[in-house]
Amino acid sequence: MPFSDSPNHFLASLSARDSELVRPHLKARQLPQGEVIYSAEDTIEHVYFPDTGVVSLVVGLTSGQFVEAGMLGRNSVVGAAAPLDGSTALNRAIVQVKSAGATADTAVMKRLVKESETLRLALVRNDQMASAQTQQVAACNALHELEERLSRWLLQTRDLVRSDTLPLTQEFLSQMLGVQRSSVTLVARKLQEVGLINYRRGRIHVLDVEGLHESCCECYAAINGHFHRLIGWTPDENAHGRRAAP
Amino acid sequence: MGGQRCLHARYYFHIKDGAELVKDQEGTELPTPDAARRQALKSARELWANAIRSGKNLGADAVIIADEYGGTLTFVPMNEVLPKRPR
Repeated sequence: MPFSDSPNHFLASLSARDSELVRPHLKARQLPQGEVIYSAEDTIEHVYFPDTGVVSLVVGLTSGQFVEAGMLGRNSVVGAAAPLDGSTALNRAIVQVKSAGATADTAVMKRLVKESETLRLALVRNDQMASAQTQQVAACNALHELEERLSRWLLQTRDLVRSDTLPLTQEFLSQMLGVQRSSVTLVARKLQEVGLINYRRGRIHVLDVEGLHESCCECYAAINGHFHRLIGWTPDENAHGRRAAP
Repeated sequence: MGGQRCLHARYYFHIKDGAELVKDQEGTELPTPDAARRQALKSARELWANAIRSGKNLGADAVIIADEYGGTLTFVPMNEVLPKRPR
């Protein structure tokens, strides 16, 4: 039986045969906000397929500072490279919005990709997608203003959590964007004044999606273009703001 | 996230902009008032940097450091954080 009903896009996109290969090895997993799935240079023991929540890939410096290089959620796989002989982590994966999903052992997945070329290619495309995203984010972090970057970031997070309410502190936001919290305070005030968001302690409500599209840079569309081309995923505009009926 | 910190008190970094006070709703836990002041300095410099880079209004006169009871401890005027010019 295929996973076509899975909330995780990677699993949902697998063929019936690949689904049958993978399904017996999946274990349900819940990850609280702030949980570090792996750190740079760790051996990635498990591949994670999120159904909900957001996982940030962050790059740490010796100063203790971190900057986010990309985010993954229900669209993809955390640790896609691990079964492809890339099991040494290149960055840190940290749960940004609490997440539920499934894991499979890297060792098992390594065996499965030898049995199925289509499964291997699916992981390759997801790894490429993660790489394409981090390259876009590198350019965005270097050249775009905080207001654009914050808008891009809110839109991306909203797409993954499928809700207009984002449980995010400014502390976390500032760490992800690599800026001081006061910078986020001022930009958030501006977005709030023009009616795009509402910020309450630890929670951001997106009020005007179109407005956020206008205030963000080209990187949001570019990243979604990578998602679409490489893994066939497009954020579903209609589902936003309301959860699908049970 | 990152490193071990000695968590002693929560400091709030409000931003004064003309008659308006943009409130820090979360605060940051820092070990000493001195660390809070250094934090405020860094913040003020970054606000200048953002404004200069974007060519937009600064939107701040001072960074105000408050304690968790709402009392103002000290403030860092934006004009005092610019690098000195060589004479």
